Amino acid sequence: MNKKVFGSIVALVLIGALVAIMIKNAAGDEYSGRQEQLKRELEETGQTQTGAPDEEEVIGIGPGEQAPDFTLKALDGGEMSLSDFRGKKVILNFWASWCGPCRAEMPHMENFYKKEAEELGVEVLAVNLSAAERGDEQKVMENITNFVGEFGMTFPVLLDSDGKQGDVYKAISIPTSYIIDSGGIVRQMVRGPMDEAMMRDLVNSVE
Amino acid sequence: MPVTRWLTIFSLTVPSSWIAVLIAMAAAYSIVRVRADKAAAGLFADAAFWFILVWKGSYILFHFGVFIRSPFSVLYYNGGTAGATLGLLSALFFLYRKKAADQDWLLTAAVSVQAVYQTAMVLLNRTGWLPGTVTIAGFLILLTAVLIKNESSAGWTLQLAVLFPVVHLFIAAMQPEGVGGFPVIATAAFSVYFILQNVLLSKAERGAHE
Repeated sequence: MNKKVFGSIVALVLIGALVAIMIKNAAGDEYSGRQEQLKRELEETGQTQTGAPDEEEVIGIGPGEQAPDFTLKALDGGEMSLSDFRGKKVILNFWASWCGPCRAEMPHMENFYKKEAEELGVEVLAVNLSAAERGDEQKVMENITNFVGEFGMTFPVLLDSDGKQGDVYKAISIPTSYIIDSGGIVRQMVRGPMDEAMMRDLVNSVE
Repeated sequence: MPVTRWLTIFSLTVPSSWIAVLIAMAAAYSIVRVRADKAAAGLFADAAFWFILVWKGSYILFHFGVFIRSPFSVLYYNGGTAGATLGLLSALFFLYRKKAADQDWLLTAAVSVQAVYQTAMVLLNRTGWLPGTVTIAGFLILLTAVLIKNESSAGWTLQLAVLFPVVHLFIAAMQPEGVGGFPVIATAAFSVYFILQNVLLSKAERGAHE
């Protein structure tokens, strides 16, 4: 190709790229502006998604199904229900202290929780499969508190003492996590450990 | 292209981008094998292996504390974008040591990887019709141009090596993630490397003749 012609083509494509970036930035501002406005209008009329769960929703752990609600004891006292977090995205993680990949995952999960979770509007709930922990009751609690202390976990840790939720959520190989959207709908099941980038992408992919 | 789909293989869930990379590497290997020769395809496979090894292994470097406490973490994790950049540089260094840095087939391989990866990402994930169409059309036109013209003359190879990052930049500008992701970094780094190698080598040759 003639050098002049080639140069013109390169210049044209480059200009096209710049124009595309500019248009996208402008459109992005407008879009988020419109979104903000809509949110405000909804709030004014009191229609934000705080209502009761849809009666017709199918309850289950498959994508698109309403995540089964539960109420579990929290490690630091009190009780927590999954439905307490309606309106927020949730990463629901199942773990045990003897599980190698869980050990690998926790530092990343804590890091993600500390640095990004609030900004992304997501809560992390770590359900310990206490029924699958080894030893008597005292030993189990010791294992759990040691584990939580070792990794400095600051997100809520719940205790599945009778192993029921582990069954409901089919946490057979662990860690198993569920990405639940702000409407309480399961969007993705994740087997195996996640890193920060994966959690970020997963959370960003749901509403 | 943002990942919006994850696939569970046995007991591990992986992002669709990993599948797209593997498909792209396999496709590029086949193209090099057909267009060049067995030795070139072998070098490409080795370079791809270096990339994956350093990308995975650099996890140790970036998360040394985690690695010490649970060494098995290296099986599950990788070095992220920084690790992938290190991986790419190692692969390029390997090719330089093997005196393959300025070979025509390397440009064909790089464009093939990028074109097949981007196309696979569009097909595997939820993408808007405009970025999706621009991505697939843009890269397929570029790949076609490279397959037809790359080996015809040295002038063409250099021009295509310039066109590659420019076209990619244009396509990335249309994509939701914009121009900051690893794919753009990879194309830019490769093009600078490939063009420098070609220009330096042709100068050295001229020097030898004088």
